[in-house]
Amino acid sequence: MRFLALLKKELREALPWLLLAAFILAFCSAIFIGEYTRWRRDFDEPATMSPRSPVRMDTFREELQLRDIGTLLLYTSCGLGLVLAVRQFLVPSFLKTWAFTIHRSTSRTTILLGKFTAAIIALILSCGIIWTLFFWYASKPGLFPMPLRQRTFAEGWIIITFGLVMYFGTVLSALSTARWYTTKMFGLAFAGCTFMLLLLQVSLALCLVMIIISLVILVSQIIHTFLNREF
Amino acid sequence: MNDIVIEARNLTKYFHKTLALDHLNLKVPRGCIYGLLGRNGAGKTTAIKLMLGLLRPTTGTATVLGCDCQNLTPQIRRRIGYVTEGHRLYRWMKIGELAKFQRAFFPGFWDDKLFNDMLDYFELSKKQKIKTLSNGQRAQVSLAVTLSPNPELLIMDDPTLGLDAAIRRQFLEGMIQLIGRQGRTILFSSHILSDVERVADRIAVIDRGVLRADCKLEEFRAAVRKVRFSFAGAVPGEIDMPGLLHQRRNEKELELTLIGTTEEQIDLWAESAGATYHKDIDMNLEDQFIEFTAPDAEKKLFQWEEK
Amino acid sequence: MALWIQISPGSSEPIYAQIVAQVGRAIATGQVSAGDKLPAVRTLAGELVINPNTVARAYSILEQQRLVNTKTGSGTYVADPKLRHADAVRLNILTERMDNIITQALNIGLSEHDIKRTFEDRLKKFGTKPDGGKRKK
Repeated sequence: MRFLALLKKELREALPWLLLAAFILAFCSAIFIGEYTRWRRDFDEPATMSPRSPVRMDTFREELQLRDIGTLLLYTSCGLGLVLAVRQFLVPSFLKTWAFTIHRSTSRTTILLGKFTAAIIALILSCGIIWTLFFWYASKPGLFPMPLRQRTFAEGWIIITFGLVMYFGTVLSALSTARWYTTKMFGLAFAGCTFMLLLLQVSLALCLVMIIISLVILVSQIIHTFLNREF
Repeated sequence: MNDIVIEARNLTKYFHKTLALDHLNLKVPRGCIYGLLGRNGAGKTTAIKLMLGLLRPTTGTATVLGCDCQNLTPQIRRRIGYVTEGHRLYRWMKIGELAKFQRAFFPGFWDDKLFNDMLDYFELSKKQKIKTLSNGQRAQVSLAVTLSPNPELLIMDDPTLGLDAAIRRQFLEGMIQLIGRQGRTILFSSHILSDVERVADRIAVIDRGVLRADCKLEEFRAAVRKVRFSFAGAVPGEIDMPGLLHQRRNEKELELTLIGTTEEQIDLWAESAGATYHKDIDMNLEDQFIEFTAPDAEKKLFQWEEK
Repeated sequence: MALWIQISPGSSEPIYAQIVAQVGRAIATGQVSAGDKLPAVRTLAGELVINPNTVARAYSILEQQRLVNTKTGSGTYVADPKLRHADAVRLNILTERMDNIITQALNIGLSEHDIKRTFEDRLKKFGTKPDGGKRKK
């Protein structure tokens, strides 16, 4: 009952950003598909596509055509993660609504879980759904030269999960009460490091492991900080 | 049920190197309307936030409804209504949505009729968005959503700051209505002394982080006095009077502000100092408060002189 | 119930004292008669927007002065004047006060005649209703 009320509130606050991310992703994917159906004719000229992309995972690397969409997915989910963290944890400080939120007949942990759940749902609903739609459409016979693999689909989801790492990293930085030049940036820096490691890693399993480790570290730190923080 | 609803023991709070609250000791009995008085920045909000577990004390403890303020359980929080400083609410919500949100946290205790009655009285609609409301209207909404769950303990942090007289009156009415119910206690901070005089049973005066008074309102009113003495000869230089707060003098007269000094002590001193005549000067609560919390006489704004 | 009470916080007189004075005056000027019921504590507190304890305190003082009687469960009523007269202690205090006033009046130079006339003028004022109408004796 109380958790649901909190969740509803957080989701409603996340809605505009969720829709914005979904729109950007959908719009750019549509452009990409439109472009690609033209490129299909010029299959011998892959140089028209961007040679550099942070997405190095197996299939995304192999399939040059997919590199762009992979980049887009990464930046959109990271952007959404960052924005959601700001909305949930910095805006209340700015608007001074923490006192009202914290004094509830629930534990602080429940309040935190409400925010986390909303962020996860937002990422799934926006990036997840658009990616799924894109993948379903792009899998239609005749669009791409070779059938898109299941693996690609999974890797897309892992990229979206990185958006979650970005979210938690930003949350930790937002909650920290240290000065910006000391430990406050730890959360963001941590997410950044994971990002760098992701650039080097190419195996699916390793990416997943790294992301999970990051999540565990960030979430435990966040819970500890939030439960002891002053408002 | 415990007789003491809020208790603070040596509650101290430092913000980095600034001392915001210095060993606060107070007890709020059940059924009392307790006014926390103090100038801006005296430490009233700090005290309230400490009691509600929003801040951590540097030293000292506080208990609310028998529970340590650092570990207020959800069950205890359900019994406490809190009107926050500035009445900051979720701007995007409509009033109706805020009510629904709030109601979820008080299952079985929400008085919908009361809420609707209050909205009618304030001439507000559930469809209005909070960001479109004025400060006064937001305060009204804040009061409505805090009173509707029928809290056992109501804590209000400067609820009428910046509000006009009509809305201040509504807040007071709400408080009086609530206190009419059994066992309800109210703690509110304010610097509008006429409001405090209307409703408070007990007051605590906090001055620069230090508790200067904690007593019944009528005791404070009776204790702070201003007496004017006339002298035939020279006005004495050194004043040896118990309870002396301030003094003002000119060639023939002396005005002393006293606290807790008995009639006998005044008469005795008047005689020994050679005063020909002395009388009480009327003071209202605001006068008394100002004299009580004013800085030392040397730091006066102007020098009082006989024309 | 023809009793209108108005209080002003921010006056140098405490609120309860203002209520006592006003009820006392209302009784003395005949605005309310013996047996009339005073507003309930909660009601008056709600109307004046003051703490019910303040009203209760005023009523309790009025009861000490034998101006009103409180019957538990029923309310507070204006007392029978005949019963008031039996208060010898109050009469003593009143005589003392009168002596004080007479002393001060003589000290500032009023003659006996002046004192009597001033007293009669003031007494007459109590015989009139607040709206200026005269009361039948």
